Amino acid sequence: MKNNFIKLYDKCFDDIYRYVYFKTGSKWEAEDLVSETFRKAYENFHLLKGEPKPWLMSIARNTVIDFYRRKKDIMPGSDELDNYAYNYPFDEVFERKEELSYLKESLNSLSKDELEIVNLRYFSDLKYKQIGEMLGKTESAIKMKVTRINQKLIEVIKRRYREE
Amino acid sequence: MNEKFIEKQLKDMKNQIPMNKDLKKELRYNFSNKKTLKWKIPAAAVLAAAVFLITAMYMMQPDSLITKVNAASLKILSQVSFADIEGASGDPAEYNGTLYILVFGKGVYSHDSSGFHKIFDADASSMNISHDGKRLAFSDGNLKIFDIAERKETVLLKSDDFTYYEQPSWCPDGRHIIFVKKVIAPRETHGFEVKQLDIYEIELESKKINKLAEGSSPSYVKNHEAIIFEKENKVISKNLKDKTEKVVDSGRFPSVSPDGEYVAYVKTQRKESKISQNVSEAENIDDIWVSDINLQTKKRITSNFVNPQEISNAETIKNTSKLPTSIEKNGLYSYFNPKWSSDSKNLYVLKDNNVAQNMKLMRISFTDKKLTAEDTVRSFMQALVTRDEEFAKSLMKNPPSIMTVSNPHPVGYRILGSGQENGRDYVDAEIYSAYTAQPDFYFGKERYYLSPTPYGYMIDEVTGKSGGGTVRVSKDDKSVILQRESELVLFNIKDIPTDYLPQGKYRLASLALSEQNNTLIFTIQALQDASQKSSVKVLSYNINTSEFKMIDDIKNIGEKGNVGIASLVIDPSSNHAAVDLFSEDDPEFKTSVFVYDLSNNQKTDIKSLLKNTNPYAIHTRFWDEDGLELEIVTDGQTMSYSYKSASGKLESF
Repeated sequence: MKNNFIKLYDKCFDDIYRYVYFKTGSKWEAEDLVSETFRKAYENFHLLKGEPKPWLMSIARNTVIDFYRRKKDIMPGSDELDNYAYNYPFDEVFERKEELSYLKESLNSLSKDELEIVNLRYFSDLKYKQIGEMLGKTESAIKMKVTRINQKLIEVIKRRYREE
Repeated sequence: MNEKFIEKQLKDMKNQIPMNKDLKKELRYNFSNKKTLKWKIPAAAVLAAAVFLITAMYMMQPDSLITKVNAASLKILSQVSFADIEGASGDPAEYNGTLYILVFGKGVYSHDSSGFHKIFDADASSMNISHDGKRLAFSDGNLKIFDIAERKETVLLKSDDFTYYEQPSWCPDGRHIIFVKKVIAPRETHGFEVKQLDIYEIELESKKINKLAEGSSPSYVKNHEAIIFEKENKVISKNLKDKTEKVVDSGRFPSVSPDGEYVAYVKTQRKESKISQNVSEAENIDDIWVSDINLQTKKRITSNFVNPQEISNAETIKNTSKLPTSIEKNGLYSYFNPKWSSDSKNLYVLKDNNVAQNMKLMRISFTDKKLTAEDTVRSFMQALVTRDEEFAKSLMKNPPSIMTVSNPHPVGYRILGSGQENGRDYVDAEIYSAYTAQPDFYFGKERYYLSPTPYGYMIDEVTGKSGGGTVRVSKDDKSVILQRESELVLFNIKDIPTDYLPQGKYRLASLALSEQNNTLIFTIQALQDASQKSSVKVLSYNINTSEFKMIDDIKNIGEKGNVGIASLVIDPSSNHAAVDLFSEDDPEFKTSVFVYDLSNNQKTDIKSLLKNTNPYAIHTRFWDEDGLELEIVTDGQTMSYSYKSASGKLESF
């Protein structure tokens, strides 16, 4: 069991870390919450059925939600992530490089739901199907949502170019 | 530009999110090499809601209270951030121990020893309590009064689309209210602008209104002697008899104490300097000030400082800017709406942390007595336990850049004594730390060297003293050991009576050592598997007699099973223990605190002490002398309480 867990840990740590970091925008909180995620995963590893990565990612997601709930008393079922996650200037989590700066800025135009999908798809490297499983949506619905998000980003970036 | 291009760019961005390789290595090592894991667990999450400071655990003696000293002689007995208000809040109002808090968009709440609960719905922006504590005047655009005993609302003045009545404040005579009449007008292009901002009073019986001045944030001084208000970022005092106006100071949100002796206000101090050939900088720091009403003396009573994030931004610009640049730096905190308690001895202030972006309600208590070195160390310890790093740093002469860490984190302290060494004041203290949910407990003795300042003492230096140690599970997981200079096996896990052990899988969880009683209080977390649900056993082990005792076997919290433990704290005299618990079956993640009297194992569920309050979460913070400091999350707000073990009662702040 321990070896299998270590394999999963090695495979998924980077994606889990980036997911939590981008969600919270804080190095300190990311460190705490990632550790908590793997502790929970370790203690419940024997209960794992199905695909490990979405399972682990769901634990991370719930750990972050739980953290904000405890912090701000948000009732379950409400749009708690809309209110609290991704609530910081995105520049802070990216290395200070000029490249992609328009794209970074354009992330500000996305809703919290859309940011969650960008995070899961591109920063945590999940497949459409896996995201669908996590969020309770079909694979095609997620695919369509990703396409729309990308189109929105293209529009925002084009507008910025025109403005300059 | 097409979708493929964007996808590639987003994937490239992923690599710009920095990875914490050290954490990865550290955690992996724990999984691969140790059975007893050392976790970095979000103590902040378990302790819940963002840090806030409690320093007023020692109550003021009536004779120590200020009567009539000038503002410059006021000393701050404590500075307590005790409520975490969701979103934002308007004016606080206090009368005789009950605090009324206005929560935007929700209503007016009262906070006292019976709990925290809503007293009426109001979409109000400002509020003030009458001097007899019976009525609240508030504004939701209209000017209204709420009679607290009769629970009855009366409209005094009705707003229209362009006229609003705001910032009411009672006259001590109870027959007049002073307020602001705001008239707005649409702009030609879009939005609105304020056309008039005038101060009026209303005579409650006749409803007659009378203009007194132009400005905002008004309050009366000793009935109709004078009024104090804000105009163009200045605090102004106007004599109502001869109509003369005097500037008290630059500042905002002035508030007159009910005894008519002082005015408190927020003042922003600006300091400009040139830091390199191209770059100049300006600091804008908010602080609370108190002035005598007769303008004789004034005093700054908070010690705000530059937001550290802005310092690092400024450093980057300073070193890279090739063009003339001006850097604006702001304080870590912004302050709003200081309001006095009914006895004029405490000031309630809204404090916005510009980094954490949360609003807290802070109470500043005044004394005319000199604060001791022990008071400062006590404040410092409590700031550490509550992770109020900024406040802790403000008490140190040369603070380190990082002070608090996730785990092990401080869970308690004890002041051991004080004295002088080579002419320097010192205080000896013991600090206790623990890992969240893990069987690791640390105790360390430290000597704090301090020097006096006009405001109290500052910590110059901290040195470790001998006598500290650790209680933890041995590397082979077979025993619990006490490590001082050498290792001592306290007991082997196989020695625990089998009746006390779970049937299925388990691990040791939080524990705490009482050195005075030579007793270890420890917990066993039963893990959920096919044969059992999660549960928590609380036990004690007497080191002298090698005797184990079962204190409690917690299978349920209310009706919810699958119980887990997050922490355990014991009081400095080791007579009581408190545990933080949660149920994995509870979809709302509610948390509970049980307190045990260790002399008879009698249990108190803190929730049962609250009336009219349905808490969403209860957490222990730390155990002060005779009170367990708790935070209770309810209806979106986090409030502090103290459980007094001697009386078995809760006290609010």
